[in-house]
Amino acid sequence: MRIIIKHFAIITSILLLTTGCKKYLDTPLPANTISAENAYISDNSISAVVTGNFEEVSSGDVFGGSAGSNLAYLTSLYVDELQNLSTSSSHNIAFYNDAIQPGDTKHWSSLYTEIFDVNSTIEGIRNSTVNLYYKNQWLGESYFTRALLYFYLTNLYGDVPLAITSDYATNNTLSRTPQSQVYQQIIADLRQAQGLLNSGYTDAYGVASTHRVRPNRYAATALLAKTYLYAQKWDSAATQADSVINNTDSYALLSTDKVFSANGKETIWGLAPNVSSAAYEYNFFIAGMPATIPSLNAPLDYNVFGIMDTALVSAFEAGDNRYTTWVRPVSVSGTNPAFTYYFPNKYSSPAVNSVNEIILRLAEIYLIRAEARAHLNDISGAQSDLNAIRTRAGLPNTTAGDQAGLLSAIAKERRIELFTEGANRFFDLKRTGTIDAVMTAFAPQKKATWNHYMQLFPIPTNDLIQDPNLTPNPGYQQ
Amino acid sequence: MQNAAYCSRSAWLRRRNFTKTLLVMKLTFLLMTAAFLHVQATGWTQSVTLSGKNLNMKQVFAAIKKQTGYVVFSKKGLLDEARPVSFSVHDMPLVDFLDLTMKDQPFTYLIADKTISLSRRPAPVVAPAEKRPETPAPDQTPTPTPITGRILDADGNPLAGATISVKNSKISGSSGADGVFTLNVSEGDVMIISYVGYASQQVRVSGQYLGAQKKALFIRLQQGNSDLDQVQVLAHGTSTKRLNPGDITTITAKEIEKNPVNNVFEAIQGKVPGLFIQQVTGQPGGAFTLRLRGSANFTTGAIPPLIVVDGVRYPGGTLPLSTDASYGTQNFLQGGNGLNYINPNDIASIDVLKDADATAIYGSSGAYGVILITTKKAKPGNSSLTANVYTGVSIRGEMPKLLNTQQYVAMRQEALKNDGLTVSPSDLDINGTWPLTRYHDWRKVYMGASAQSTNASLTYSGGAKNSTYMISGSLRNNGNIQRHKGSMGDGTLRFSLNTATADDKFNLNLSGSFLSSKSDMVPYDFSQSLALDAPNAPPAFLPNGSVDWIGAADDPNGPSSAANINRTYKNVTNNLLANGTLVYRPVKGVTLRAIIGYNDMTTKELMGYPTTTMNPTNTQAAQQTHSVFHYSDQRTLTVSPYAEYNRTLWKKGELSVKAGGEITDRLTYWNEISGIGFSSDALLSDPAAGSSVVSSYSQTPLRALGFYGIIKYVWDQKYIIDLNGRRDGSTRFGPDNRFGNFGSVAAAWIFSEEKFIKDHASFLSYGKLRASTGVIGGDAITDYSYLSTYSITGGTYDGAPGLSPNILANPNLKWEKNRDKEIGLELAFLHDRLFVEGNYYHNVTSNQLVARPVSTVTGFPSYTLNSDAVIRNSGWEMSVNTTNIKTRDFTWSTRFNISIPTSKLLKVPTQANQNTNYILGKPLTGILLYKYAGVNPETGYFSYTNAKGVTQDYTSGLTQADKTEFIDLAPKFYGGFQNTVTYKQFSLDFSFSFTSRKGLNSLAQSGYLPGFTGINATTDWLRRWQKPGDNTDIPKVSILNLFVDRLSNFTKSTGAYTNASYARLQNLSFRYHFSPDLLRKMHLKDLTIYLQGQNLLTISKFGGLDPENLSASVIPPLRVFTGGINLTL
Repeated sequence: MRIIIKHFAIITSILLLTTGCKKYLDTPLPANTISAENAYISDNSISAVVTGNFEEVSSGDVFGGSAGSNLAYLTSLYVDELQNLSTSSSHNIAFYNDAIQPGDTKHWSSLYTEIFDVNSTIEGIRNSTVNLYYKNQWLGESYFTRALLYFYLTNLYGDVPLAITSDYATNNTLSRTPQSQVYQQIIADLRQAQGLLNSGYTDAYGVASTHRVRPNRYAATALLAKTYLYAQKWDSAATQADSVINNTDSYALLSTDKVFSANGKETIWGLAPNVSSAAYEYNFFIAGMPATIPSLNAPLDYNVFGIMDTALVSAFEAGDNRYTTWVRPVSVSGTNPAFTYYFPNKYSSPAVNSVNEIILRLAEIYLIRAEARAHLNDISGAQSDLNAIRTRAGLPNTTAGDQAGLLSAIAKERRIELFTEGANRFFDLKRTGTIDAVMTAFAPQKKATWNHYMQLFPIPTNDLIQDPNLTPNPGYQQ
Repeated sequence: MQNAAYCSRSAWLRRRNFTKTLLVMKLTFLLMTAAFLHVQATGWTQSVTLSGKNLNMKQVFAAIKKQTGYVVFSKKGLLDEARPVSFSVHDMPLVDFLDLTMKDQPFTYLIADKTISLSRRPAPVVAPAEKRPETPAPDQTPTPTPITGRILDADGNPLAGATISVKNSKISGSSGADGVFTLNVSEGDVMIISYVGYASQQVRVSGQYLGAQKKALFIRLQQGNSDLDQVQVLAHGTSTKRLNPGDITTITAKEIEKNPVNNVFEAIQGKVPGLFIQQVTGQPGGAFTLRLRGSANFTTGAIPPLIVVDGVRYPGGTLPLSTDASYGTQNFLQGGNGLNYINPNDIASIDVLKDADATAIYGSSGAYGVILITTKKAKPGNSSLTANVYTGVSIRGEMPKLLNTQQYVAMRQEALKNDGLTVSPSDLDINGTWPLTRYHDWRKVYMGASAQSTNASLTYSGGAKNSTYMISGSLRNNGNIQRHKGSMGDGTLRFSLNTATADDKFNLNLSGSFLSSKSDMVPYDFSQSLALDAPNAPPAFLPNGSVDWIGAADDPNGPSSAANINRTYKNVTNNLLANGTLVYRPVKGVTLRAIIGYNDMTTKELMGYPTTTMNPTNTQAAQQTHSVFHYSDQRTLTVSPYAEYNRTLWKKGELSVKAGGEITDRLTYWNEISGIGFSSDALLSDPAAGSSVVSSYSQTPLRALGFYGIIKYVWDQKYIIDLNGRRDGSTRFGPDNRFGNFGSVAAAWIFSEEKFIKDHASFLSYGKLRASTGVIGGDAITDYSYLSTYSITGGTYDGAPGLSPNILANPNLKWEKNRDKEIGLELAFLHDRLFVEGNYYHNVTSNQLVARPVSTVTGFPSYTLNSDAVIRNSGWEMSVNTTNIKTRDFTWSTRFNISIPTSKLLKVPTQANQNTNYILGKPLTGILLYKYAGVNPETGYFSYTNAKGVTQDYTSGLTQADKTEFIDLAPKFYGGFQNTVTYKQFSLDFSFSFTSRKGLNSLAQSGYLPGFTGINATTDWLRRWQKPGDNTDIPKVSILNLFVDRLSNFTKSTGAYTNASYARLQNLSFRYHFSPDLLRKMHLKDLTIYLQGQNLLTISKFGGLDPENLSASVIPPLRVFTGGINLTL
């Protein structure tokens, strides 16, 4: 045996000496990859990281452009804004029928993925020892993004785990944080962002820009106003809205046909497109469909699955400019009596890559202040804000004169002004406590049944399994 | 780097670990036996049937001549001394028969070349052990004289390296490159000539071959009939099953060529115990999944075995094709497969290495099994030209039956009635808009075509002495059965060159092949949408084959789905394989070898989405045109130098020591240009011409490094021991954890060579007991999981590029450990006419690398770690080969194999809640499900029994805790059954494969329950629930979406899984070989004509879905019928 081992050892060692060294295994990283430590060594690389976060937000399942996942689209089906024509997308069917299951909504994991990215970015910038010129911008943009993501998260799911680190061991065992504390975090992040961000718009390298796709101080302020409104801090909401509306150099209400053009003065902040495509809404509702189509099912040929509900169409007052510019009638030939479909037409340009998805715009800030003022019993202030919006739409001043009347007029105005935008209808119904009444009455029209628990989306089954401290939202089957 | 180069001093110290491994291996020694090839004459192949009392020798020999063609010669007068014999034998091999006949006779026999010569038995009849023929007593004292002869195979090609030994003496030698040998012998000696893969032959030395006037001696060896003598390709070198202590299954070209298939995996399906092969899609160029023995894995399912083609690691799994979700080939080819780009006709053999002994040498990559593919090589012999051509048709495979219009309309009306609704204007299918009498089977419309397939190849080979060559070319083409008549075709050019110096000290083998494949099939699988249209919908095509947008305008599913035939696709894949083997033998016993292999597979895909795929009224059609160019390249370089040392140790022992290294360098590269918005469809072939263009690029290197040593010791051809040790390095781990030490030990005992077996159980012609155990490392995880990295996002945001985190990195990742054990028994009876092999393997995996699912709150769905779970994969495999009938004109042989795999979780991972489907003591391949309680006879809805035993039609309220049932989805058993029947010049082969497992039934795969507009159902729905009291397994129809939700519970219940067991007539081949006489007249070496069929018949109760690919939305394996001709000049 010893001889065997001896022979063996000699031959083996010769080979070990002649063939390769360990260095052979020090291969370079894949061409499109850098190590995390190299991502935080300069303004240039951090700029790319922060830009990457915006890109993820822009293409993710909440703001992104798939009809099976886009939050604005799906919540419009979920409430009373859109009718569903699709027989092929089970997610659309589930949303339209108010019968979603945990598998139908990917928004939770999408938002948390983006939150992880932002948390990593904040930690990376904070730990970076190099001298950064635009550190404030990078941090401010990151805090703003985190606040935005949590805003949607808590409004969709209620009490949510508050992950503010990138550590997987911590985040994998979080329990749910009460919504009020989540709002506190959002407010704290936005306050930080206000302090860090510039008042003007910049590009990815800190240079002033006319593009309104990276948040500035007013974007943080606008979102803060919205957050205070949702948190029912009327005073603070009005104060924050003031500072945006008062900045007339940057912001103004535009005529309805110009509202959704890129980088217009009404835009406070929008998301730049991440893929080569026309605006998502164009693809959802127009997609090259002519004004006359041959059959009731023809929109499916254009992959158009959603039509405006008659309730929404008939909610417009006569003479509303928004009806003429933001609603597109398509007549179905050969039907008797003649039949017309109505489609949202806010983003009517088929141009690729040139239109931004507007997340925060001035009209909403007016409506936020109107509502806050109404709650604060500033009747005339509320009326003037509401009338600013109505005047722009070519409508007469509001007739509402008391708090209750104004609140209901503002709610109606929000429904028309913000229809199929940013899940506003769904959130408004929820935060004003009217959703159960509205939906219980409306659901039978779409052969659905509304239940109180449906205000909150179901939490993914996987996460409930993996994180033992996480509890499900009641009512859903896990 | 903290760890300096391997050649540094610290690394030298670390080599101690290596020695330690050897010590561990030493402890696990087991001794086994091996037997030398039993000396047998060619007479084995014949058998005799004879009965009678007191027969004289003349009668007996006449019978032999008549039945076997063997002629008996004897010295005059010898037969006079013979005693009459009595017996009754049926179909007894000739040798046995002769032994029996001459048991008590004063003479013995020798067989050479169809001649049996009798000679006087030198001594009185002795013990039965001596029954084999002995050297006849020489007439006078012999003087050793040199004899020269030449050894040839049946075709007259020289056999180099054959062993020639003289019976009962130490004299032996071997043949040179031209088959010539010279040996010192005496007249009357018996030479035994043996060669791996051939039946041994005995030749008696007669005076005519000696001296000055000697005659030339030619010895022709016949190919071994027994599987035991088939050549097996090992990691480095070859062996035969007889002498191999490891577990290897070999499939040769002979079996492969009977299958008219595109991918060789189809041909070996059901033929290799322990290897489960599933064809994922019937599209030519589609994907396969392979699983060798258990899955042994938590998350990734089956890790495919390593594929090595001619010494180079080959992409055996899916290919880096375009993954563009809306325009790519995802659903169409399911990822493709690397072996689609090797013509099965070019494969000489496939060796599947299964146990630790066989695979340990491949180190980490061999942890999940190894498949070695050897392509056809040059063989010495006269120049010959072989042509093989076949052509045939493919048609659609198994698919479920759908309702006809009348049944469909009744179902739709019933659905509306069930929901209390009335027919609406948009219900075109039943409101009279579409004729209620019109019927289309949309599957026939879209994929009912038959497609032609053709395969032609030409091989020229030859050579003499030290140099041989082979050049071959082939062309093949496979049509698509879908409506668009695209096809996939390729051409291959191959060469192989063998040359050696005159003294045979240096040897060079070069081979190379280049394949270029082109596919222009529409990248769309129509089976996904076929059930999604009403049977009375208007026809989507005009008679001229174009899409009828006007006539079918009111059918949203029709023209828009039909328009997919206007999508364009072109895939050009080139596959270059090059191999060089250098052998140098500086001194006796030492061989230095280097194998260099190179593979480069490049794929260019161009996918177009022209305006013709869209409604002509679409005002933005041009804006929406899309074109993608995807280029991918996988190149692998494998260099494995090794040294081998052979010597005789302690007289009867043969020692072989090998040591070497292996370096693998792989680069996976792709880039993609995709454009949107073209001013003309004609510009779609240039994606950069789009109005908006995005491009992406990826390049991922992988390197692996391994050193190994093998010691093999064979004692007296009875006991074999094999030791493997290996040190592996992989770039998949952090710098501190890159290297791991692994090894194996195997032993075999060929007990049929023991005297007591020979004495007492002579019916046993071969018996081997073998065992192996080893530790193999695994690294089947994503590259760079140990490092926190950022990658470019691919797109831009406001013109600026972005970076994004890739992974939750775990810097502590280490090698996974697979402890494999196997014990096997191989028995052959009646001169190998019955061969039985049984294996039991027991593989325990620990430290397993797992992408552990985590809460998505962490930002990722999973985190890669070394799990502390312990998993056992064990199983039984058995194969039986029999030669049922063997006469001169008629033979019938059968092969059967079965594999019974099981897996078990021995220790649940402490990382809690890894996946709730993992239960201690249960297989990993199972899932937890709700207990399905059938369709509620009262309501017509699915009902379930919850954990408390309450049965209801739950739509909500069921929780994870109610998943009380466990179903294992892995195959319970699988295998194959093959028969070969030959009669005179005809041969007939048929092979079945079978699998027993459960699968998701078509009801659960519906996606939408029937009842919706335009969704047709399978005929199962004829037995649907219709009124309270109906007892059935099919629920009521409804157009309410509540019902879709009910389906989501159903798919998580036991009701969704049914028995998908099947047996399939995989292959039928009928051949006619022209007789040698006829061939001689035609001046041909060989001529065969044949008919073949693939996937002809499936026996299954799986509701019409194909039980192999189990999918309702992917085209099932095709049925193929071909006819062909093979001709050799």
